[in-house]
Parts: sequence; structure tokens; C-alpha cells
Amino acid sequence: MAVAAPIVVLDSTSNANDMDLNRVLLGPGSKTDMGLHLFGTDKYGRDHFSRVILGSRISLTVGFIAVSISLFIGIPVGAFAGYYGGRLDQFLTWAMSVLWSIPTLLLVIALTFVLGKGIVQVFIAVGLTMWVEVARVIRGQFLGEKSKEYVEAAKVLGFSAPHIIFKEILPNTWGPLVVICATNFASALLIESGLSFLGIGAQPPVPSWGGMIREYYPYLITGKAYLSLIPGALIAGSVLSLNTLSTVWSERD
Amino acid sequence: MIRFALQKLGQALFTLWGVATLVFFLFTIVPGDSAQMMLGKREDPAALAAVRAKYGLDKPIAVQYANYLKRISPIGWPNDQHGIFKAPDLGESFQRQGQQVTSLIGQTFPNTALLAAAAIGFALLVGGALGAWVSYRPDSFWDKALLTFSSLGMSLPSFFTAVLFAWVFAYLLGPWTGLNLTGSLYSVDDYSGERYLNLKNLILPALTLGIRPVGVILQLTRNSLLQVGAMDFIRTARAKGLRERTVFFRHLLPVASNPIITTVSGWFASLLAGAVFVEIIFGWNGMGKLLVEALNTRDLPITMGCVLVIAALFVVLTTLVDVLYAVLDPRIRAEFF
Repeated sequence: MAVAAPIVVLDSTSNANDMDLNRVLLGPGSKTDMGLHLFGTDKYGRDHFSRVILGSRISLTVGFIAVSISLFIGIPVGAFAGYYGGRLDQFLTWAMSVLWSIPTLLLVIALTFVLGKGIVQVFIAVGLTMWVEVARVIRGQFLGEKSKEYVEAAKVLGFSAPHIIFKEILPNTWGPLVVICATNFASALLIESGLSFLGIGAQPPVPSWGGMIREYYPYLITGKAYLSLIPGALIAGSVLSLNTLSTVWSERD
Repeated sequence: MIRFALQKLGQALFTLWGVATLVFFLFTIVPGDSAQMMLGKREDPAALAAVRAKYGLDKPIAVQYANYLKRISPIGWPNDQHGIFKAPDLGESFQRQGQQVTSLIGQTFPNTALLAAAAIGFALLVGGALGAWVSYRPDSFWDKALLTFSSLGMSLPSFFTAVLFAWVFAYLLGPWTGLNLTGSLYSVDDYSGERYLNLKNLILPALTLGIRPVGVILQLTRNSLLQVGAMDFIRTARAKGLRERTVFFRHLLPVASNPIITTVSGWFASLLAGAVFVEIIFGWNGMGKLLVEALNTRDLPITMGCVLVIAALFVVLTTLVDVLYAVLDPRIRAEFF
């Protein structure tokens, strides 16, 4: 099930943005000189199947970039807070609880208000809000690990603090880290599609799943519900597989 | 106990101050001139200067920040207009001339709160009942089926569920269910122009918004009940020959419901944010709709106000639950008495 998301990236389509007003809103499975339109065509006569497949690119890219940014900020913050404790920890924990109090979606909306509409802004905004989760997990892990014997041994051997943090302790925390990455990937995907649905994420004509639902949900009452239901099902499927992945991983040991 | 409550209150105020500060600095570095946004397309230097002077936008950032804190704080120096407590002033909308953000939020917030409460109520009822039911049949067919369904439910983005439910229940099954595709709590009668309560319109949005919490609450209830059910005092209660109903309601549930309460309070605030999509699709006249409209018209004070209100609510709710927890749970209570 977990493989379902990545395999749809196979992309061999060139007509995703080709408009042809002679073949607008054809039903699924209809044929034109462009070939078979598996999911029919949209309101500009573009092949819906190609657009759905291309939409996966945005979703997966957002996931990867947001997770990378969140790791880049979250690991050092969590590690320093957990390792050094004291005032630094108090300050960082406070900063985290402040960010934690604003629902992620609202924080991202606020950030896109500042940075402007567009997909790059969404990458940054989602990454900048998600590091909190990473930092919380890493901090908790460091609190538990830092009093163990091997850390004491490393201190006695005279290793520097950065060496102990990144070379000695960090490798021991990667199990929970993988779990949080998978969950974050899923929520990044959800937030991106949500923002695109609200019209502040990917801008047309770039195909994105959330944007497609936005464009076609008024078509529900014309009997063309599949135009918005297909991308929706794909979002749900990707999120489900990522969540399953993280559950399986966390129950592994 | 009092010390604990005061300590929590202090923490909450500190967090709230952080949130207010973050929101202020986020929105003061907005590219684009606030005065320009307010005036729209007019480019009259005198008018711009007048607007800047009126809202204090010509002052240094530090002064603006102090004024902002003074405006939004619900506590102030008593004067002739108010006592120590005052209504927070979130400013005036840019696009809707002369409308106070506080009154706009005041009008829409009850609708959103009702929607979120209905969704949580539905989720607690269904998720809790199903979770309790399968906790008596671990690893059975129904257990596995419901767990799969709840994971699926948790993965559904709310805008997709909304579209799906609107399509199935209001369009395909519309003639049987009699539900509308869109609609708010109050409808206006086409003939007399009177506003009347239309509770029917609450069903679909609340159902949509409740789907994810149902999944979460189901799994939580099940796991918590299984965990507590394996403890010694439950075995003792059963060994005493108590009826299963008594064991469940008097012994199991009070202990097992702690994690559920925490999660529900956490979810409530995020539901207020998640309601954005549901409100848009079903045309529910709530805060989420207000926020998105403000976003599209770049109405800064409304956006800022909505973010502040929801974050503040989150902080207040979590603090309340923390304190409530201490009152209810004998283990925590013992520490502070």
C-alpha cells in the first residue's frame, strides 16, 4: 500500500497543458486524435489523466522540501535544547509552544500572506512550521539519551559537544525521526493541497491535486463529480500510505 | 492547587504574549504598504499620509508594537470607558469600510463554534461507542475492519470529504435526504425575507468535520480501554462479582477517558481552523469563510484577528484542560496539596 504514492510519478505525457476547445469535458474513456482520455478531459479540453499524474509532482515535491527544511531546523534546535537544558531549553521550549499554539494551517496562511501566493512560498511556509514537531521529538530523545553511559564515556574521552551531539547521540534517535518524517510528509501534502484548494498554493495552469478539486467541485451537480473525486482520492491514498508507513515503522521494534 | 493553577495561568499568558508578538511581526513585515491596501487604488499622497497618521503607521516599529499590544489586550488601565477588563480591539477592516474586526468575528464565531462542537459531539458519540465496543473484541474481524476504516477516515482531507459528502448525500441522494448542497444556520425566506433557523444545514458540515476525529477517538478509546482493562483493579472489580456495566462505567471509563479528554480539547482548536474548507464548500457562514475572503482581498486586520482569536482559544483550552486534569486526577492532585 505504501508504494502507491511514488509509482504514479511515471510521466510520459505532453498534452497536460494543451488546450483544445473542441474536446471540452469529454467523459472518461473517450477517444480523440490525441489518443485515449482515460479520465476524460477538463473544461479547457486538457487530458485529465495527464494532469492528475503531473499533480503528484507538486505534492511529492512539497513533501520532500518541507521535510528537509523541518529536519534542517528541527534537529539542531531539538538537540541543543535537550542536550544543554537550562535557560536555552526554557527559551526554545517556549518558542515551540508559541508556534504550537497556532494551528499549522493558519500559520502557513499567515506566512503566505507575507510571502505572497505561489508554490515556492508554500514550500518555505510548510517547512518553517513543521520543524516544531521534529524539534519536540528530538528534544525528548536527547533528554532520555544524554544521561546514558555511552554519553558519559564520550565526555570523559574529551570529545567536543558538537561531536557528542551529532556523532554519538543523533544516530540513536533516527527510529522516531523516521516516523515523524513520514507523518510530516503526509501533513505537508495535506496542507499543500489544502492551500491549493483555497487558491493560495500552486497557481494555474500548474496542475495540482488541491487546485483540481477547487476547479471542479462546482461540477458535482453536472454529473462530472469524477473530475474532483479522482485527485481527492489520490491525496487520501498518499496520506493513508504514508500514515501506514509510519505506524508500521513505529511498531517495528 | 491554587499555586498550580496560577503557574499554569502564568505560562499561558507568556505563550499568548509570544503568539501576539509573532503575529504582529509577521504582519508588519508584509510586503506592500498597509495604508495603500486600505485606500485601494487611490494614489493620493495626502490621503496616504492621513491614513498613516490616523493608524500610527508613521511611528517607529517599537511604538506601533506597544500600541498594538495595548489595543488587543483584554486588560487595561481603568478609565471612564471601561474597567480593568475591556473588549480587545482588533482594528477596522480594510475592505469592509467602517466595520470592526471584533464585531465581524463576533458575528461569525458562534457559527463556527457550533459547527466544531457538533462535529466533536458526533465524533465522541460514534467514535467512543465504537471504540468501547471493539475493545471488548480485540483482534476480531470487526476490530480490524473498524481500525482500517478509522485510518482511512484520518487520511481524508476535509475538503475532499466535504465534496464527497455533498455529492453523495445532497446530490445523488438529495431527493431522499432532503439536504441542501450549501446553506448556513439561518436561511432567509424567499418570500417574506425573514431569517429562520435551519438546523438541517448543520448535518452535512458537522458530519464532514467529524470524520477525522471519529477515527482518532475510536482508536484512542479502544487502546486506552484495553490498556486500563488489563490492570489489576479491573480484575479485582470483576472478581468482586460486579456487573459488567458497573465495571465499565464506574471503574474503567473514568480512568480510561483521560487521554481522550486531552485529545478532544486539542482537536477542538484545530477543528476551528479545519472548518475553513468545510465552511467554504457548504457555504457555512463562519469564521473560516471570513478568513478566506479576507485572504483573497488581502484584508490584513481580519486575517490577523482570526489567527489571534483561534490561537488564543487554543492556549486557553489547553490550560483549562491541564487544570481540570489536576483537579480530576488524584495522582496529579497529590503533588500539589
